[in-house]
This record gives sequence, structure tokens and C-alpha cells, in this order.
Amino acid sequence: MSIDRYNNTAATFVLNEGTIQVNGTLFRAIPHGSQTPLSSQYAYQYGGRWNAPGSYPVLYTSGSVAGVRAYVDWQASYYGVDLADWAPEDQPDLLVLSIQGSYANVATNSGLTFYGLPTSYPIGYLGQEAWTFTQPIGATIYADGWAGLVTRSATASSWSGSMHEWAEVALFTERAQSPVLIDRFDYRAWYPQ
Amino acid sequence: MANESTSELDLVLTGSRGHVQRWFEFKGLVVRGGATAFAGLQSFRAANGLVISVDPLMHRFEALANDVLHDDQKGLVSTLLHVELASVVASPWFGSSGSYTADVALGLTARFRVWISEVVEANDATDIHVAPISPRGHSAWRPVPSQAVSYVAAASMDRYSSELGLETQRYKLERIQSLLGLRPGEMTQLLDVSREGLRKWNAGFAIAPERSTRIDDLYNLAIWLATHIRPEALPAFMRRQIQALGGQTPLDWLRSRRWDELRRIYERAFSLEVSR
Repeated sequence: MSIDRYNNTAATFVLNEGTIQVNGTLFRAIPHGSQTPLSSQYAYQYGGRWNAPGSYPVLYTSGSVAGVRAYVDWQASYYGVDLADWAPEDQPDLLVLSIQGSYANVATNSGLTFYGLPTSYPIGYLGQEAWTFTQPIGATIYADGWAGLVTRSATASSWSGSMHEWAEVALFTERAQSPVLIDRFDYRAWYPQ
Repeated sequence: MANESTSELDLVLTGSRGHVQRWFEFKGLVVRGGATAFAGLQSFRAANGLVISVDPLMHRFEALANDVLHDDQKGLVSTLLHVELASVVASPWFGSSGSYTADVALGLTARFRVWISEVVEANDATDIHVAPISPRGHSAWRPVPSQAVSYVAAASMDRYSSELGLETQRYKLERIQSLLGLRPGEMTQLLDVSREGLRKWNAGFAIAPERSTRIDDLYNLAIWLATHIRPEALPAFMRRQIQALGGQTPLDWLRSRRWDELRRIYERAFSLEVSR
């Protein structure tokens, strides 16, 4: 099956006060050699933007293929290794996931304001130094019993228009309905060569 | 026991492809998957897996050959097979039978037979019989790219040097320098040794244990990097100013002894688990 069928496939993001209902397709990049594509253990152990190390497991996903592409491009640039020079075992496979659930809104202006972030977020909050601000917010959302949160992708360049184009969904895997893995693409099959 | 060993050697030297294959599979002398993974990915890391997958077979050949070789010839079998492994992968053996594992193992058997036949002839050992074997399906042969063959050669010699012990540090010095593309002056900085000291190490002089540990650490880091970044791209990477390293180069980080930190950063990068 070609990746083309997913380029225009979007999950629906329905805003309802402080909640965003997500229903449909999300995406995620994992190393080609990974045998545990839906594992959140690494993020649990080492932490991420919305979870401190050892706090609770989180599965980070993107609303679009373009969002994942922007992420891996940033990775390559930030770490100084062109993707073509990564060992084939590490080159990113694209996962296509199906999810359904309600998550905390850390994406819209009102949602960002509610959690004490500026409406310009994530501008000014790039890099791991900013995690000292975002991880406590994630912990609060987790403590409030949410199954995850919807937020703005730090690799997007604008955050207007259809939400799937710029949104990321961080799933608290202990609580979130398990995403269903519906497809997996080799790096050469989904990333423009 | 001697009879069992002799009959095993006889099978290895004269048995059909099918008999030899059943023997090494029954004895557990090859690990399935390593050669197949290499055929698919053709990376340095996969080449390491391929070498490991047939290592028990190479050592079994070495043990069997001891019964028919003179004392001064016994150490050569392991050397020969580690050297020949890449030539097997580059030959029509690889991809000839539908099982890459069997192809490599049989190709090594063929190389082993050729060498033994030459040696027993030189030794006038007329009671040793050797039958040549060749691969099936020559017409369908698709050569492995030369770059991938070079990965197997390097991985095999890395493995051999770690098993051999003797001369290992000199080998490691060469590998560090070539993999990371380091100049002699940079080697002396990283290993905290004078140019004269490095020259003596390369000439085979003894290396103090604490210096030896540093060579081991740097060698392990170089091999680790080569399993994650294409080896041919590593020298340029080492001199690249990188945002994740605060605008410094990996070589700068090695100079400032941040070896473990550098590895941890790239372990995370290659896990694709770093959120921006």
C-alpha cells in the first residue's frame, strides 16, 4: 500500500471547551530495527517534553505525515547526520496509527492560556531547556486523570488552519485507549529520496 | 572421540552440499537470521551480525583441521576463514540457495576445502581426501555492492582481532584512525600520548594498561558510531559543527573527554524518541 493514501488522511480534532476529541489516523517515526513500535518505555525512562524521566509513559504522535517528516528533518539537522547517512537499522519507519479519545487541550490559544503558556507557544520554548516548563504542565494534566494531551508541534512553522497539520498528540499509555497499528512504511517508501 | 572427529572432518571435506548443511545445522554451528539481515540491510551493523552468526562454524573448522595440520599451520585456519568471509559474500555463493545462512556456511566450507587441499598436498598427506564444491544457480547471481562487502571484511577482522588478543591494540589504533578519519596529531591528543609514543605503539612496543584502556574505550566508541552512521560518512561527521553539541564538533567533544556523553546523546537521537 502506498504512503500516498495517508498524505491526505487526517484525524478529526473536535474542540469542546478544555477537551479535544481525536478520532482517526495519527503518525509516528520509529527506527527501522525497532521490534516494539508502540512501546512508550523509552520516553518513560528518559522523559520527554511532557513527562519527566521515570514519571509516566508517553507515546508521542503527530497529526500528519508532513509533521513526522518535519520532525525527522529536524533530528537530522540538529544532530548533524543526514538521514541518508544513518545506518539502515536506524532510519525512520513511519507508523500509521488509529486512535480515538478525548485529551487535554494544550493546542489552542485558550488551552495554552489555561495551562499558563503564552499563545505564541512553542516559540520561545524550543529545546530541552523548555522541558522544565512543559513537564510540570504534563504532570498536572496526568494527575487530573487525562488520557493524554493535544499540543502544537515544535517542528511546525505555523499553528493555524486544520489542526491535524500542526498538532501532536501525547498519549498517556497507561490510560489512553491503545492505538491500533494499521500500517508501517520503510524509510525509502515514505520519505522523499 | 578421534574417530568421531575424523568422520566429521571427512564429511566437511568430501560431503555433498546437503550433507554439510545438515551437519552444521544439526550441530548448531550457524545462527539463522544474521546473513539474511545483512542481505536486506547491507550495513556495518548487519555485517557484524553476519560474522557472529557463522563464528561457531569457523571455530569448528579450526578444531577439525588441527588433526591434519602441522603445529606451525594450526593457527592459520581461523585467520584464513575470517579473511575469506568477505570473499564468500562477494561470490556467487551468496544468494545461491534460498538460505543466506547456508550460502555463507557452504561458501566458507568451499574456501576451507581449497586451503586444506593445498596444505595436505604440501604436507604429502595422501590419506586426506578433499572434494571441491561449488554454488548452485550461478545465472541468477546478483553481486553484493562492494561497499557492503567491505563492511563484512572490516567486521570480520574486528571480530578476529578481539578473539586473537595478540596485536589487538595496534589493530584498534589503526581502526580508530581510519574509521574516525583522524590525523596522527589528533590521535596523540585523544590518547594522551606523544607522537614518539604513538609511533612506538604502532611499531609494537608495549602499551601501559591505563593507556590500553583508553584505546579500548575509543575503539568501542568508534565501532559504535560506525554501527549507527555509515562508516564512509564518519570522518566528515567528526569534523562537523553540530547544534546538539553546542556548535562544537564530535572531535571537540572527544578532545574534552566527553566520550560517554557524546554516545548518550546519539543513543537518544537514533532512538527517535527525542521530542523537540
